[in-house]
Amino acid sequence: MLRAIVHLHRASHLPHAIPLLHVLRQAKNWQLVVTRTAYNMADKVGLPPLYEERLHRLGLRVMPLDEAGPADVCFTFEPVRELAGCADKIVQLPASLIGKGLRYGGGSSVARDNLADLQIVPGRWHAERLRRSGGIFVPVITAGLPALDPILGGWVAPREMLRQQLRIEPQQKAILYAPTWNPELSSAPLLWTRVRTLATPERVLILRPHPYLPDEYQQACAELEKGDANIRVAREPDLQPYLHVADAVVSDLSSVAWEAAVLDKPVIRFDTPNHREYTRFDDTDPEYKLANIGPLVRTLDELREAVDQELAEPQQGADLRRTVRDQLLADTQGTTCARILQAAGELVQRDASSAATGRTTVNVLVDARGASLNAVDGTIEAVLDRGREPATVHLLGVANFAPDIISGWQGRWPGRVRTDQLPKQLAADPTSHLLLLKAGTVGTHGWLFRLVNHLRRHAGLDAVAPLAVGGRPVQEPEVRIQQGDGIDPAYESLDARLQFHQAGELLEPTQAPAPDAILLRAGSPLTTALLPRWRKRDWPDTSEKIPVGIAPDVVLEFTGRRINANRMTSALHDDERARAEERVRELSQWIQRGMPPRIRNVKAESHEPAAVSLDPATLSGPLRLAHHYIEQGKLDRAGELLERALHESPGDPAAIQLARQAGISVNGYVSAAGGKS
Amino acid sequence: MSDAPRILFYIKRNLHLPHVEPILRWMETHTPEVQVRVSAPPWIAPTEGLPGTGLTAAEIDAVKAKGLQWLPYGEIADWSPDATIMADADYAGLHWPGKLVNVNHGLISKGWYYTNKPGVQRENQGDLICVPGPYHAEVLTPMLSKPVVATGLVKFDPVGRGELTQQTARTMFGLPLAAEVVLLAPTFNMELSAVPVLADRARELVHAAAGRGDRHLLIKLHGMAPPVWQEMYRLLAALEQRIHYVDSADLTPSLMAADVVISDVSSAYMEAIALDRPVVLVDNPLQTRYFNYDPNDIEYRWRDVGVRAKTVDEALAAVDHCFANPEEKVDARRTYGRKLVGDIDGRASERAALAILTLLEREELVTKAVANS
Repeated sequence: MLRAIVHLHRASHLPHAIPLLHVLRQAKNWQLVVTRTAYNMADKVGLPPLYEERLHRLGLRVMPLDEAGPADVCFTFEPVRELAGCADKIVQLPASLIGKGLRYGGGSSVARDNLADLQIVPGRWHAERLRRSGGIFVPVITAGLPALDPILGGWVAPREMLRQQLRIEPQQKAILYAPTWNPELSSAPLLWTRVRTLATPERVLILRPHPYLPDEYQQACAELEKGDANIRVAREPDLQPYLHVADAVVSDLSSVAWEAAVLDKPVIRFDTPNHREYTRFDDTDPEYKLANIGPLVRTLDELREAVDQELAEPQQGADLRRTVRDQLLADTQGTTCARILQAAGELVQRDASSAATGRTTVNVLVDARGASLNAVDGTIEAVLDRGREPATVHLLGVANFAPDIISGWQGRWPGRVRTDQLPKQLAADPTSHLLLLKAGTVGTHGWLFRLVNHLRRHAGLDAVAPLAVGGRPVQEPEVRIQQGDGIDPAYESLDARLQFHQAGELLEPTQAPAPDAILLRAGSPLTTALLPRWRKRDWPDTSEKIPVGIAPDVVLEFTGRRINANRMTSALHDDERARAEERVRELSQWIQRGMPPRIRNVKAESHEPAAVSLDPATLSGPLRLAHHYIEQGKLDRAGELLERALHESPGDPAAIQLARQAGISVNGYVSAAGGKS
Repeated sequence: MSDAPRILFYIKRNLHLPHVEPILRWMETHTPEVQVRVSAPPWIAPTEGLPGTGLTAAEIDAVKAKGLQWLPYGEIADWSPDATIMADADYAGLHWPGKLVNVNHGLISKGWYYTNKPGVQRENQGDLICVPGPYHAEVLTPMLSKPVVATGLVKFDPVGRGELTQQTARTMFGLPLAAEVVLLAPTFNMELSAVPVLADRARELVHAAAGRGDRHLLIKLHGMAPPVWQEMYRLLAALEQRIHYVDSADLTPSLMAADVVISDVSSAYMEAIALDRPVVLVDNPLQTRYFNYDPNDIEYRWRDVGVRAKTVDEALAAVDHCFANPEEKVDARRTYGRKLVGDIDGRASERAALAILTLLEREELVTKAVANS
């Protein structure tokens, strides 16, 4: 028996959830809990009373997430951060066929979508776009749209019964008007009550005001219904019955228009001239790329005329609608919900994520030398329980720990905790990543997954560090989110805010951050150079520029270093003094990071023969440009240029030197010997 | 007019309190008819690069413990002050009636204050601008339509009255009276501050080398200094017996306790020269990259008053030099000092208070107060 949470974050998710709830209740091996976000109309989250009542009528109790208890799977239409850790797996379901700049790889969806363990999208168009976005690292499967299951599967109430319930006479046609709510995308502000002219004795107009449209519009619809025998208001949250009875659908940039189209209903779309003003306008979204689903009208007269034509010849746009359906809908048999449950069940049964995505192995070398038991324990837990990335921990410096402590860890995480200090072959394995981590460093749910994603996404980069570690920000996260109200400097809070505002962005590399946590591409020249030094705690000082990408969506906490200086007196214990001295050195390096070398207090020590610096004026055009990009920290671009230069002139010493200086891996052109390998 | 005037002392940030409290105290003593209250905007913590506002709960408790009458922010409009006294140009943030008086809180420009820039026109939203010295009045008067009065630096009044001396200040900090005392008082901007230049090597100022015998270092950071700076210097104070981290918002006792002051372009160096302390001026190499950098501001033009240093080694040597040559540049300090704060006679708050009462057209109170003082 698997325990499922179906979490409803917004009212607009309910029509898509209801079919899944039906299926889940009937499934013998699933136990169901329904949760919701607290209702807040201003933020458009939670369920209004009418929607919650609909669930009660289904015999379902709805509860806050924190009362749900542990679950195997959480199904959600929006993987909000609050869901992190609520279930073993989070499955994101589709609640729309279109993007609105928010879904399916568009706009800011990348970070949010990666919070789920499995992405389910309606059709191949969505899956392909997610793949092309380069930012989704969880499995993606196509399964259709749950909201359409009752109609496509034939388990919605018979059409005639629904028509009777809506008091539609046999000779009458039904027109569904279902506008969206965003001011720039909705036709409601343009048509308002003038839409009533579509209602005639031959045609019943069903108004379906979006729940987020303002109260005055909802009231205006109710007034229209009172004053016109041929107007109905759709009051049930479920959309399917109204779509089922409709002979034609009038909409705008609402997903309803495309849902009607894939059901082969005639669709007339009212143009919204301000749609480009929409803050998340993205003309690569399906609503713009696959816009040809029916007539697009701009005036009431055009609308009436188009409705007449579509009702007279409903099959005239059928070919167009079928083309769109093939791209947007993977299931036309009404089995989407069943597919969802099957995929979720498989996800729970196996560690599907690594298999499905071919994820790289991550070896985490934890420096436990001198660390407390709690610090090591906390870090292993942060990696293996909260990292959301298949990883193996290799412990360095645990000889002083009692054997039963080590065996306790190995028993808790079988096969994932080793005391081998990381064998050389693993550090050189180009199919893996290597995380160097000081014991005491911890992160929030999914932190390691997010960190690793940056290496997945940027092939030219060999090292990534979190945005902030141990209260010493690499890029001042609190400044970057300074627009936020009442910033809580706790690392969890920073991490949560950054995840949504900044994720997916790769900042320019800066001078080397201290190595509390740094992720390296195993086998890269940079890793070869840095690993021995890290083992010896001989980290380069900040005058050595190490090309490190910054993961702006990861903030870590170093629990072991914080010293409450306010409590301190001059009578420090020896170990406190040592820690304080170390902390002072680190803070000093951080504070001086922007200073020129002649100012910085730490004397640079050369560990390797200094490379002769290249004079850009002597370089060829592409290499001069690569040099420029390296200086700018734009390593992706530099890497492309160097790779091209080495392809054309294998072994070009200037190109190889540039690549080595920048630590850029250029597909095997740079070997330890500095020649083509 | 017979009703008692209501005057609100509005503390936008804790560092403003020393600039307005003496005025309030003077009024309490000399014009008890005047109703005075203290208030502050809701507390918003400073973050790296962004100033905070308001007072913490502990600071509000401290204000109340001093016997000052606290008025919650939400009750200001109902109390309806006749005048609001503040130490910054916060006109846009005030939404209640009454005259507005800015008594200011610094001596320098930073591209914002006492400079020939359009932004200075914001002072015309006020009804009276009190400035510390003749130099500031000279700059502002031609630019503003509102009255500008040079009162002296209010927070130096205890010095002028002889209540705050080097001896009392050192006693306050627990410093040996005969010790050499250096004050590090940097500003908070990354591009301007001495902190990124000195960093942890500031501790060498107290190391027993080069004749630095019983030398102590006071570190007084700006209220908006980044948390990592605070953490590092608190740790240094814990590690070094002769380094003392100053938490108080008021710089004046630290200046009085010091023999030599290290600063950068902070107002602290101007206050130091006004108090005749030799200064070491650290030039941050990023200085000209400060977004509001203007070489015509006095913090850049008057740097001949101190010994300049570009590196930590130069700063260490400069401090030794100042101890060895305390009279060097004394004439420059006195010349600039007078321009900045006039005479330090302990009566700046009186001048400010009388200007405020005059603004309120309460001549009878002015006459009475002058007769009583």
